[in-house]
Amino acid sequence: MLDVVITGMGVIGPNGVGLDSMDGAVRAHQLPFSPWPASAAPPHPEALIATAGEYPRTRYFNERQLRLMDKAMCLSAFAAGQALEDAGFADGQAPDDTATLLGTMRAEQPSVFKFLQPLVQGRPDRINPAEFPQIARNISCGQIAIRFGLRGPSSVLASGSLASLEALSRAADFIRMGRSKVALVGGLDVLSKFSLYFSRRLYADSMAATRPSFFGTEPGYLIPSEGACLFVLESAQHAEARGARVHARLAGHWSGRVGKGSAISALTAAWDRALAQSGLQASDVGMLVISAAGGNRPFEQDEAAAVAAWLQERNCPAQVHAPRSLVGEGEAWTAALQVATAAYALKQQTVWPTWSVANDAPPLLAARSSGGPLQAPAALVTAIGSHGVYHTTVLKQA
Amino acid sequence: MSQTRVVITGMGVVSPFGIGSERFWSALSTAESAQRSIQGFDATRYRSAAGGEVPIEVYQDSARREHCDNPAEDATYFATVAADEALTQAGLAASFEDERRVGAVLGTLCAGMRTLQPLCAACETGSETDLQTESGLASYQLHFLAERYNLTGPLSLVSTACSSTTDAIGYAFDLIRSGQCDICLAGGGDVLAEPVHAAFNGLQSITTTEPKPFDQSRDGFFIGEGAAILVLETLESAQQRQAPILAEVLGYGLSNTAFHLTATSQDGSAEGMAVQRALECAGISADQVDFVNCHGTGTRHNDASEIRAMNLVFGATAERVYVTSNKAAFGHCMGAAGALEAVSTVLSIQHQTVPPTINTGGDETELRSRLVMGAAQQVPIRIALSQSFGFGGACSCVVLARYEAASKQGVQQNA
Repeated sequence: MLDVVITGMGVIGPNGVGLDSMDGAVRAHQLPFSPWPASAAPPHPEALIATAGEYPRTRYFNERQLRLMDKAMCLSAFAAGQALEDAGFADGQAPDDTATLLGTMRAEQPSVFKFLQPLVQGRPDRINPAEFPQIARNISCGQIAIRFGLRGPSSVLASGSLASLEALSRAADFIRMGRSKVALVGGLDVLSKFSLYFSRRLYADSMAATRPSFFGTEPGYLIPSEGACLFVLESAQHAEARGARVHARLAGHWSGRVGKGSAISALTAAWDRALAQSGLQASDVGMLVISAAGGNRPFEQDEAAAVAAWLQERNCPAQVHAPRSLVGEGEAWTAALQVATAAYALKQQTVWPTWSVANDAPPLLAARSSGGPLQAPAALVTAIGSHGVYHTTVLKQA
Repeated sequence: MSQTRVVITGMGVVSPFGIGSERFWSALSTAESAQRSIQGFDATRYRSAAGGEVPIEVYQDSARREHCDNPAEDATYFATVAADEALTQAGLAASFEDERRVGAVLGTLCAGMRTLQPLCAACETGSETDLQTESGLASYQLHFLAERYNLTGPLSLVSTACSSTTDAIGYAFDLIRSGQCDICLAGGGDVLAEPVHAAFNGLQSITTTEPKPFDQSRDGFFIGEGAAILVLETLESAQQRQAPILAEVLGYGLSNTAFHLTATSQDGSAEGMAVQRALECAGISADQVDFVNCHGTGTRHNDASEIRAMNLVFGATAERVYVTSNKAAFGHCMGAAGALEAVSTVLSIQHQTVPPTINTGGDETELRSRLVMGAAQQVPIRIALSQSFGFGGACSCVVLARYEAASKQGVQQNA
């Protein structure tokens, strides 16, 4: 399979801008969480959320333009600009046919809530058509295309918490299939009064707990999170020709859904398949970046069990990292962050620890999640969501 | 990229004309209109009350809903009915074995809106509601179908506004061609949601008369609703199963206009890029295209852009291409429009017939292609396009062809 490389990354999340700021927070043992706002009816007094940190809002848009944009547009466009800069493309200099793909689970919710207010209040005559476009999930992607002049293949996936990983794989395949030479791709999700209300309902089983708990069996608290994480992808050949710095190589991917059979079997088979596609073996994997969010939902428990079984059976030296322990559950934005975390670790040769590991976590997982030097040159990014949908991406060192 | 041939072996439809692709084709080919005054909510308080709702009998058919496992959201109900029909036509089981790895790529724009509206009210007032929260997510229909049919292949959902399900067909095509699955459902369901009707009214995009695509007096569209699902699979799989082959998918293309968040481009060039990319993906030239099922909303700006796009792509050969717009008949079905129009296009290929664009005089001066008006027209169709454009600059186009045993290279040689 043709190697596709990551040459740019743009991140705006609870730690602010970029992965270096996240690295600093990890080293300082600072968690970027804040109290759930009282105005949004917290599930309990100790409830926390993870809102996006400070960033230079006017870096790519002026105040007048920003007033017309919702938070999803602001965060994703900023991350897009950062990713393009990181890839070495001066403003407006990315190829015209660059593909744009985003994944989100529900980034439109804040604008939908705002747009629906006149109807909710029985005043349909006050519906504001100017706010209408923002309820379309692809408006952020359109804004990015306009701002940076990108007319390549463009799509937005809204398939749930793994949507950004699907977008990343689709973008990589676009490049492999010759649909585009460069792709700007990633994920976003945002918080608002309504999205928090929705979270309380959707994750009701996890909202009673007071703190996250990783790799355990008792329900843990899911910290709602927001942010955007975008990548610039291109073929290795294209990157080399323009002298671009490479963060990591996307070597393969595999996705599906657990059916009637064992989730553990389905996940481990997917990992084996993705590695084989990448020309790698389990012994090449230095880290597993997993999607556990600290809720110990049934599918999180399946993932933890599959990881423990696979590490043991394949005699794999990999460390295990759950980025959501550092930034909360941000659905598609944190799924994209899994890949960014893997790329960062492959470059820095260090794996971040997973925090808030449960007391009843399997000993192997507890031992492998304390962070430290990377022992092998590849990373396996795995995610599983509700309904047993799973996605695996394999990254290799540049 | 592999040259695996991808064919369509099943199709299912729920439309404002009712249930089933036969009923859909019968209405389209006899120039019926599904335009009515909206009954699902009080539309009289808006500038126009025109809409194309799925018939009330379908909504109220409790036995059918129960057979569909009682989805908590209407777009999902429509998608389930359509998927049942598509799978039956394709000769596939109602539930797959895990090892089969059947995938699905759906698309939608407004699905979930009927859940979100009362949820927003409950959030604002603090009132209780027993609505199923997950049915407020666009992805609800994807996961519902995945569980119903035990789909274990790659699953995704595209949401590129009115371009969604044309893109979804393309994505499914890629998943099959790249060997990630052999069979993939593509399409999706959408609903006529009051806030969207209100907003398009506010933008003066809803017709106060009747939709007249490519007519100089055009004044917009009415919103429709429904679902369409197509079963895509490798030719090899279809032949092994001795499944009916309805048409072949030759390729698809996407673009972003990078021009405006809601308006199509002035010159049609970026819309044309999606079409050009689709042709390149299919390995065919523009002069091999016989028929284009247009996006054809009937708004002043959209039709102008689309005509310019076609003139750019087809050049001197534009005059030999037959074109039509289905939206005048069953409305603009938002996220589901692309899949419904793709089904119509496949039916056109099967029947070698182009359904008419109703209501129009087709007097838009820049239009060079042969707009079929008044009555359906028998036309030799080997290769057809179905194209969609949406908010956010999203453009998509899929290339469909009459199935011939010779490969598409054969089609090229013989054309």
